[in-house]
Amino acid sequence: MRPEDAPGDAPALDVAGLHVSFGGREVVHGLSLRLHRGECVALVGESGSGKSVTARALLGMAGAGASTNAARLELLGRDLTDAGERTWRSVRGRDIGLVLQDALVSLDPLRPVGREIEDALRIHERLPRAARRARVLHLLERVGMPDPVFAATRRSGELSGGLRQRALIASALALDPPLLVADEPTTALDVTVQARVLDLLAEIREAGTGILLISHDLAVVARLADRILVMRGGRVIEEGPTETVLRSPREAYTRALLAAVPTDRPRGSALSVRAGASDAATLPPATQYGGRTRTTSAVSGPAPTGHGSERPLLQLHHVSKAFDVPGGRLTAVDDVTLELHAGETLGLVGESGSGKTTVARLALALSTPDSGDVVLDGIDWSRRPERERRPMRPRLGAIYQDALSSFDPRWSVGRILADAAARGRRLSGRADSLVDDLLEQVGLEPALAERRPLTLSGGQRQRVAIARALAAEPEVLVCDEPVSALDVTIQAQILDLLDRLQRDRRLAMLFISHDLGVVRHMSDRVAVMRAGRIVELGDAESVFRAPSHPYTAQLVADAPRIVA
Amino acid sequence: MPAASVTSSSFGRRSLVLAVALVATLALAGCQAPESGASDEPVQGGTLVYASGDAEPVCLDPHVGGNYPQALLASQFLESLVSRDESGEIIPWLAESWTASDDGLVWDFTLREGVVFTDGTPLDAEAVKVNVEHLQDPATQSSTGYLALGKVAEVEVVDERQARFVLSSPDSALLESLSQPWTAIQSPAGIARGMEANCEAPVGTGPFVVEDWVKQDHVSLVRNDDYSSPPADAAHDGPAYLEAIEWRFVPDAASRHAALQGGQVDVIDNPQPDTVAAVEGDDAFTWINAPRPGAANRIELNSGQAPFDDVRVREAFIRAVEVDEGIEALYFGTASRSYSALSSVEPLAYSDPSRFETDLEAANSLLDAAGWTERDADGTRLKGGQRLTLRFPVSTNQSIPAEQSLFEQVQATAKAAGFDVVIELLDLSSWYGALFANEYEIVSAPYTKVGPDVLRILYHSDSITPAPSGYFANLSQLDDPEVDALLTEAAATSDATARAELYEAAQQRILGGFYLLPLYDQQNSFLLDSAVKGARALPTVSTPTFYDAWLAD
Amino acid sequence: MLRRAVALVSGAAFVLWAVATLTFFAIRLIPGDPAQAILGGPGSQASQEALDQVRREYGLDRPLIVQYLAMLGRLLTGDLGHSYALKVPVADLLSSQLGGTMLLAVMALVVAWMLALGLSLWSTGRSRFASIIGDGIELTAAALPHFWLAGVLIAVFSSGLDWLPPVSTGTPAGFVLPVVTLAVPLAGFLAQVMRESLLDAMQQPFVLSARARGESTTGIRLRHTIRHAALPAISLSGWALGWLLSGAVVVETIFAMPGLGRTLLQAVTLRDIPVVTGVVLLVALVYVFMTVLTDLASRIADPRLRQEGAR
Repeated sequence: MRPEDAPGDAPALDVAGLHVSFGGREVVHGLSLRLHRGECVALVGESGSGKSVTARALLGMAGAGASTNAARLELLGRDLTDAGERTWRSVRGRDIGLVLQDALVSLDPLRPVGREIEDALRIHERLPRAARRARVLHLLERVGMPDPVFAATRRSGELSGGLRQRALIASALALDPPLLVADEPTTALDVTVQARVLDLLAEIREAGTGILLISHDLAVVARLADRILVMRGGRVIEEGPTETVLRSPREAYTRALLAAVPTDRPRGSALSVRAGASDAATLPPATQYGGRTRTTSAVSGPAPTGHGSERPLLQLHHVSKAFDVPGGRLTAVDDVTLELHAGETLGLVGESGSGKTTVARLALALSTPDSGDVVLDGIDWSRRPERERRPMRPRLGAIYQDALSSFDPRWSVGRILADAAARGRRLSGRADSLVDDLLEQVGLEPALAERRPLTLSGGQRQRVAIARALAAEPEVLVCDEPVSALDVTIQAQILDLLDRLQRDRRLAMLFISHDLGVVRHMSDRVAVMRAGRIVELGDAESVFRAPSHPYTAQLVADAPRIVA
Repeated sequence: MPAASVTSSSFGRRSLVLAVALVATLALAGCQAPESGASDEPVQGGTLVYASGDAEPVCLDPHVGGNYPQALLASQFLESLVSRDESGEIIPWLAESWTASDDGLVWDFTLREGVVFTDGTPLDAEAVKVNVEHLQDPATQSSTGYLALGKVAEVEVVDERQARFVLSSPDSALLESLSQPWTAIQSPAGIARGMEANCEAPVGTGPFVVEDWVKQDHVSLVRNDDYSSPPADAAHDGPAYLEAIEWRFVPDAASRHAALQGGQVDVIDNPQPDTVAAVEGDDAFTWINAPRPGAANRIELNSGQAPFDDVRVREAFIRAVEVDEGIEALYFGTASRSYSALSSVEPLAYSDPSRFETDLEAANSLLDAAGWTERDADGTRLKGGQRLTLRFPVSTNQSIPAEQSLFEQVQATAKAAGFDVVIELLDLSSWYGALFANEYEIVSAPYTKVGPDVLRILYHSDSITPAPSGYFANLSQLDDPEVDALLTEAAATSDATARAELYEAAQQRILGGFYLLPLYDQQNSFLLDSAVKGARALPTVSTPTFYDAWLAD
Repeated sequence: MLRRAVALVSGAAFVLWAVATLTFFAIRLIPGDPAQAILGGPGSQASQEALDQVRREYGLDRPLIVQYLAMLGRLLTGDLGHSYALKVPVADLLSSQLGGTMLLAVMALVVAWMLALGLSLWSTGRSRFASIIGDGIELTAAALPHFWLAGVLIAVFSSGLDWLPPVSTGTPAGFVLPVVTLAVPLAGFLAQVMRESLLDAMQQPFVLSARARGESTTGIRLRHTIRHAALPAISLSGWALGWLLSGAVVVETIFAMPGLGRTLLQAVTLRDIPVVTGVVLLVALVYVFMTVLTDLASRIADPRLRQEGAR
């Protein structure tokens, strides 16, 4: 804290009636908010809610073509309602700091992070070189950077995800501003790293800096915020202390948001609310799941071994795969053994670089293992020449995180689906009805067949991706981070859809994600990967409730939850 | 010599007399300089900068090959046995006197006394002998000089100052041949250094010496302080006034002109017609117009194959084509129409305008009579299914844009009579290739040589036979025994009057056969800054000489 | 590291071999007898014996494939042969002419860079008007032919204003117009590329972060986006230098400067095969060298390129 900042009840930030519009279209309608030093206020909402625009407007950077006005906009008692660019420039960096998502692109990749951190010092205080250097090192230490001297000379791409996010935070804190705006500061990070960065932010809050936290992730918000404002369509629809909002939300929307979070929600329970239906519809009893008993309560006993008469549909036997990278050879997958059964979901969880995606590629025979076998329904899958594999490919389907880039942007939805259904052959006139059928199955209107993927929303695209994967009537579905890029309510709908489809078609699903809550909700069994190896494998509930491997324990402990 | 220069433009003047008067005036102005007043007093010293648009020679020794760019430079530092004055008379130079035997087979040349090459070697009969042997030696790869001395069997050293030329047959053009820079006399010691060294800096007796040659950039010439051998028509004797000449190679015409205007250079050659017209009347510049000797610039018709093996078709072409307006317009009045096979600087040139009157009707009836009665869709005449197509290869290295436009005029006017002229723009080597492969019906190929003997080279049937390299000079492929006889006899006759009559008769027959369409003189002129006084064009091959020149302050 | 070096050298060797081969066969497609070229050009009066002798001496009577292999053999020992027309060793000729052309090309590249950077920084990301103007200037500049531009520059600055000489003088003043003639079209092209990169960079989050620290627009341009704009131009510079070398022919001819361009032009006209081959190989070598250099420079300028394959 700076000596000239008088302690007291005066809010660091006092906003009333903030309106932001772009060319006549209003995106923020009369937002009011107060933030005190040492307090963390969270703005929660989905995409399009106006939370990011609000955050930027508070720095005078709402964007090109934006017109901002407010009844009151005071920062540290200073009136900024009519501030010009010069005034804002003197405020930014000194009185407010901004931390963005993903330091890989939020820091200039061509400049050493030390320089980025130095900038505020150079602009506002004109410290001499040596003093700046010293301050930069001090800041890096403060944010917990190991070996600050080395790190300061690195560029953002040369540091790991967590370290560069710390550097980004350091750059925002350079002049110790009383207010920090953090827009999705941990969204791009792995679970364990995220936990550490959240700890750091908590520390900063303790030290007296006010934090305005923007996030879509209620669990993260629960960890850090003192008060929550829920935004929807540019308006604040609910506001209150964290406990209150999360425990007993007033608004239906807030309740829907909370319901949509999969963490701690039992397997088979619906996350989303269909229009007209009542809350939290449950699914038919567990007995339909391949003979195994599944309940919503804690599972007792060891993970079921073998499945009686059922042979596994997809098996990986001791597969390994390594790649050449500069500086040697990287073992992406190290002696992994997995099994997938019909009607069952196997979750695969791990952090970035753990090898999950490589496993997916091996399962789909898009990549050949260096050693070990992949067997599909008893047939040798990995060792076959592609010529022989091709006719069997329709038995496997796949959906990915980024649906848009998996489509040919020139093709209409109808064409994409018809092409997938045709399996390389030509379809006779049934194409249209087939396409309509598929669209219906994923909950989309037939009219969408005319449109191109670019014109669809994220949720719609993912549904189309699922429809495409199902078009060839597969038995196995590989899902690689299928919902990571989606808003939480949309995510909920997609997860419910996947569940339903699995039930209806008895799919064997390999569900890969870094989000423990999602995996836990979706999986019957789960495998935990780390550095290419499976460190733990077993029934989902038992693995998460009572992990045997310390790494799993760490993951579980670090995963943010809404209910602590 | 076949002019392998970058640009060969032919200017003409209103009449031979006027031209001679103009050049004479300029030369006389130079001569009278010391008497005309203080501002005309020659100034010692200074460096003249010359910008040449011709191609840079590959070898400065004019014995090797032998083209016009070499002649331009060689005229500054090499000298020949004899020279020529404006009236066409052969005058003494390195040889002060000469006699010929009655049968014309022995020529004795008495050399000037006390002349020394710039490397100290004395000029003597032995030197002359060495030079002629150098020219005739295949290893020298001489073209022009070799042909010029084709009838010289050997040179004998009678005494120190007397060289005896022994010929294999009489050559009435020997003196004219010896006046050219391609037969200049170089130091034997210089020649003995070998081709590579002698190409870099030949050693001669001239008023300047080659000091340095920076390829693609310039040649530096410095004054020969011991100079003592000006030709008989020079304005003074003793060393030159100028201390040095910087000879630059500036291929682009616009840049050349801009450099002259900006004062960066003092003299340029190959000025474009529009440039000359633009500076007319401007006191700041002087124009020296000096057409090259030898042939005029003409279009030859290939009579060796169809369709021009038929004289009616040849005449029809000449009657159909209209060039007067084109020449007037495209050359801005700097070139005038020629009706002769020879250059207007040749006293023996025979001119016959009546042969070349345009008459489209006559052309059409001639073609009908010759059997070219049908026409195809675009008006080209047909005979037995064959189109009346005339291939016209044009060398872009030799024809300036104005001339290329003129050829397009020829194409357009010939079309009216049903000729389909196909112009092919080619680079020099490809152009020669087309000619040697006989793939042409009409072509324009200049030839520079001093004297009317050029007619023998161009129109004697012997010249149809190609050299081993494929080269031949008789592009009209004229094969007329009567012309052959006239030209052979003229080459041997020592009687001036008889010679003149023979050449006239030959020209009448050549022109009468409609083998060529004369256009204009080979254009050759220079633009000088008015500060340059005393410069003139040598009446031999019309190269500029700066021996009498000085730079006024 | 060693593997990279080996890959680089063998790649370069392959390019040079391909160039030599293509040149060898291409130049023999042009009509014109090399023996004539050696003996003084078209119109030479050489006797049949002389022509035959030259053919034997230079191996021109041997089958084409034998000649080709002989040429490769000579090249491997670094022997570029003798010029047919000028009778001097090709290597001597080229080394004396290379300096001028390289100087011209390098200066033109530097000037082009400056012009391109200035233009793209000035016109991008400001008003729509500036953007349109900048776009128009770039497009026009890139489309200007050298011979036209040279003529205009001479007309304005030499004949008109008399500020600069129209032909080279050896002094720095004589370099200005030739360099500008070469630089302007290249600048137009580079600016278009830089603009793309600049626009892209301006929309990146790090610009937002920089602004959030109080950085002014100028500061962002000069400290951040300029580097991003320059990246594609760096990798293009290798190609650009080669392109400049070939553009040098026109400029050298018009401004009467000695250099490789004119040497090449004269050699092609005279069918001087060894010189043509020599010049083409030299230019290819420069291309290869510059490509390596710009590859290195790109890696230094953009650390992201150093990490391909690693995560």
